Amino acid sequence: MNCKLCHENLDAYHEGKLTPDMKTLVEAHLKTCEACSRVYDEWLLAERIIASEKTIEHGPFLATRIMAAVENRDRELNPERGLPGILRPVFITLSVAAALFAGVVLGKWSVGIEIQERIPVEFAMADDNALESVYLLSNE
Amino acid sequence: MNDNELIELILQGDREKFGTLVDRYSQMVFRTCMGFVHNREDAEDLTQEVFLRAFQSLAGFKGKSSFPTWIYRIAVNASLNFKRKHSGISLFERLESLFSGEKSAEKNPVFSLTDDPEKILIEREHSLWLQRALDSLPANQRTAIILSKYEDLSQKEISEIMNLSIGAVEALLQRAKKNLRERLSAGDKKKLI
Repeated sequence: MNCKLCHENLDAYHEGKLTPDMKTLVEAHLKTCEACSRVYDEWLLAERIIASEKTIEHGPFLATRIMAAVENRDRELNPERGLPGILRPVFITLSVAAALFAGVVLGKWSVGIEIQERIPVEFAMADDNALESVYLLSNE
Repeated sequence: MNDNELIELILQGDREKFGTLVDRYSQMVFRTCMGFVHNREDAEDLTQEVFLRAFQSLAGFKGKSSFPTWIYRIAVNASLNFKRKHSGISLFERLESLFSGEKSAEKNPVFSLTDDPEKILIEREHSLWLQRALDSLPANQRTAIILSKYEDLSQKEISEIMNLSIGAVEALLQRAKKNLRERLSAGDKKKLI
C-alpha cells in the first residue's frame, strides 16, 4: 500500500468500515510509514478535542436570559400588548391611590373593639363591707 | 406537546410556550455555535441571537421542515456571519496574544481553574490548532463537518439543513475531511500560542 491509498482509506479505517483485508493493509502501512502515522495521530487528536468541546454545556441562566430578550423584543414589536409608555406612570399612580382609598374605606367599615376592664374573680366576688378599714387598723 | 403544537400556541399569543422550545433546543444550538466559535461566551451570545431570530420569524415557519432543521439553519447562518464579522478582531487578538497570553486565555474559558496549568496550556494550544484548521475550510465544508462531528448528524439530516442532495453532502464531507487533515498537518501546534 502506498501513502495515497492509505490517506484515501483513513476515514473508513477510523470509522471501522474497511474490509478485514484492507484494514490489515492500512495497519501495516501505518506501522511502517511515519508521515501517515503522524497524520492519523493528528486526526485522532482533533477528534479528541471535538469530543471534549462537545461536552461543554451552556450556563444555567442562558434560557432565562433568552426569554428575557424575547419578551423585550416582543414588547418592541407589539407595543399594543402592553401599556403605552406615557400611560404607565398614570396607571401606577392610579393603582396606588385606589389601594389607599380601599384601605381607608375598609378601616371605616370595620367594627371597633371595646376595651373592658377585667377584674380578677377573687376581687370581683369580694364583699366591700366585710373589708376592714385600713385607716382604723393603722390607729390601733 | 410536539414542536408544531407549541408553535401554534405561541403564534396564537401564548409567548411563554417559547420557553419550552428554548429548553428543548438551547443545548443543541449552543453546541453547533461552539463548533464555529470555540468559545463559550460567544457561543452563548450566538445562541441567544438564534432564538431571537427564530422568535421573530416564527410566523414564517411553515412546517415544511422540522423545527430542529429550521433552527439549525438559523444557527449555521448566524455563526458564519459572526465569524465573517469577527475575522478582523480574531487577527488582532492573535497579534495581541503574541505579546500577552492573558487575552486569549480569557477568550477560551473552556478549562477549569483547578486544572493543571501545563495541561490547560497544551489543551488551549490544541484547541487553537483545530480552530485555525477548521476556520480555513470553505464555509460549506466547514458547516458540513461541524454538523457531522459536533452534532453527529447523518448525511440525510445535513442535506436537509444545507438544502443539498445526500450525494453532494457525502462529497462535501470527504473533501472537508481531506482538507482538514492536510491543514492539521500543515499547522504547527507550537507556533499557535
